[in-house]
Amino acid sequence: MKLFSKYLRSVDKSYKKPQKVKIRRYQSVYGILGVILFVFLWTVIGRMILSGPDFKQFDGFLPLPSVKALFSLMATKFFWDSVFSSVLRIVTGIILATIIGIPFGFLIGFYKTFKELTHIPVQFLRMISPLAWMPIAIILLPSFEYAILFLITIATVWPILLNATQGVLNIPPEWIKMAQNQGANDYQLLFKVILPASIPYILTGFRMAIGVAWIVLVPAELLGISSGLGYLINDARDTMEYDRLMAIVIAIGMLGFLLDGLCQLIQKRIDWSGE
Amino acid sequence: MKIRIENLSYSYNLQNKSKLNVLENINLDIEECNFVVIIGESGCGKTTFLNLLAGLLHPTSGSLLVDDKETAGTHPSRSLITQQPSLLPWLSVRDNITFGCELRSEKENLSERAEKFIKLMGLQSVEEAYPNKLSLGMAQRVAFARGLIGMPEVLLLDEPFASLDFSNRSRLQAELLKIWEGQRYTVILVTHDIDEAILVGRKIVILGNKPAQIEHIIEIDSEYPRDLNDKKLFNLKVEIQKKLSRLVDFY
Repeated sequence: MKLFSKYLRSVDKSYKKPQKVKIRRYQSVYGILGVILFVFLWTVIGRMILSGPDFKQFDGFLPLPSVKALFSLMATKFFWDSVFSSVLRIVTGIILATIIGIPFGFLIGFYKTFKELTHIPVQFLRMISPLAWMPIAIILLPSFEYAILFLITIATVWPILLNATQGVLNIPPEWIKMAQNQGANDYQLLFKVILPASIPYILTGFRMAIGVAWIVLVPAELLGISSGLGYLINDARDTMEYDRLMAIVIAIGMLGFLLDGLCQLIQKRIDWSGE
Repeated sequence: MKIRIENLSYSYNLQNKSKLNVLENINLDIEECNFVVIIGESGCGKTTFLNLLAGLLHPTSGSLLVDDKETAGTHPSRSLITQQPSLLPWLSVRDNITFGCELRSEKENLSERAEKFIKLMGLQSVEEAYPNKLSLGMAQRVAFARGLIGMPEVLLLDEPFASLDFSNRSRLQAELLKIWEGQRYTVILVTHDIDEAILVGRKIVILGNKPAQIEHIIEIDSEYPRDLNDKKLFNLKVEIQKKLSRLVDFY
């Protein structure tokens, strides 16, 4: 009973404001506590695994050396060049996926026949791991760079496409009727009603796409290109600099976290449904 | 004659390839500046009738003449206001009101016109607000402002008061009458509320059920504002009630 009334209070509009502030303060305290706990566990478990004499050389995997290596890595230009080329690949891939995904998503949302026509191919292609395309991409495309872009595009097109479709399907028909009555032509209907109405869905799609792209990027970069964070990992393994290797892993996590945060920030800014 | 409806029929295609006749053989003339109320049971085809007039649907047979010209599609001179306000949540109240004018690029002194209708509908305190902050009554006022700002000749109202509470409803009805007396639009109001029909209508059209046909036309020439307790209007209400209930099978 108590839990239920607590829930009601949290969803009641009039209670929302003070509640929100309170939650945010707790969130930041718990957030820091979570990081501390995570580092603690990392140290303890790392020590337990690496306590044997055979593992002496792997001390670099522990938090302290890793963070140290991260700082010295961040002082090099090469690291930032790698970050730049990785992020550039993701951005280009997602732009390509958007150019393909949104028009197709809208078409599928609009035309029932088109939806039925594409349903099985889309569900089939969506389920193929993007990395399974790797050998084919390398054989058919002129360079590794293109192959990586292809992989990111094919991985991110699905969340963008499916969310664009959802966006169109969820537009209340009364809005279309209203706009038509107000004199909207097809072009205006698309750009003044349908596109803004599906913005919340499209942004959700982007956020999912960034998550997927970041996951696909590193293994794709492991396969023979000479720039990017995936390449750096491979390089550190080959030179047996394990603290540096771990530092790059941390950097990858942090960058992904930042990208997602940026996405959330944009979402808060232009998503009318959250207001 | 502002609107002339001749042998108008409309039927929906059902999935099993049969047809559902919604409207059958409707003939109706509507004079300019008249206030016509169309009343009938829920689901009898009133909304379909209004959508046909708005140009959102096309008649299966028969013709629909406005100013002696066959209608083709929607036209801003025939403005439709529905039960749901249908405001766009990413636009402020002011931008929702001017939405249609922006689409049609009627930008001439748009901000003054917007100001005028914001004032007319009592929306000064919320003009910069977004629709999700509005009560239903307020939202419907915005919808009225949006429907009126384009200077329509024909106002098509699809139960616009149905989801409002009593005080909001009577206030907005009174305001609509005042605007109508000033501007003399041709108004066609669809409703299932007999009181509302008697309060505002000059011509009441009673539609029968499935397929809808015109059963009765009643003219009321009483002055506004009307009082429902007035003997003549009260008798009229009883008469309409009887006529409507006779149309329903299970009575």
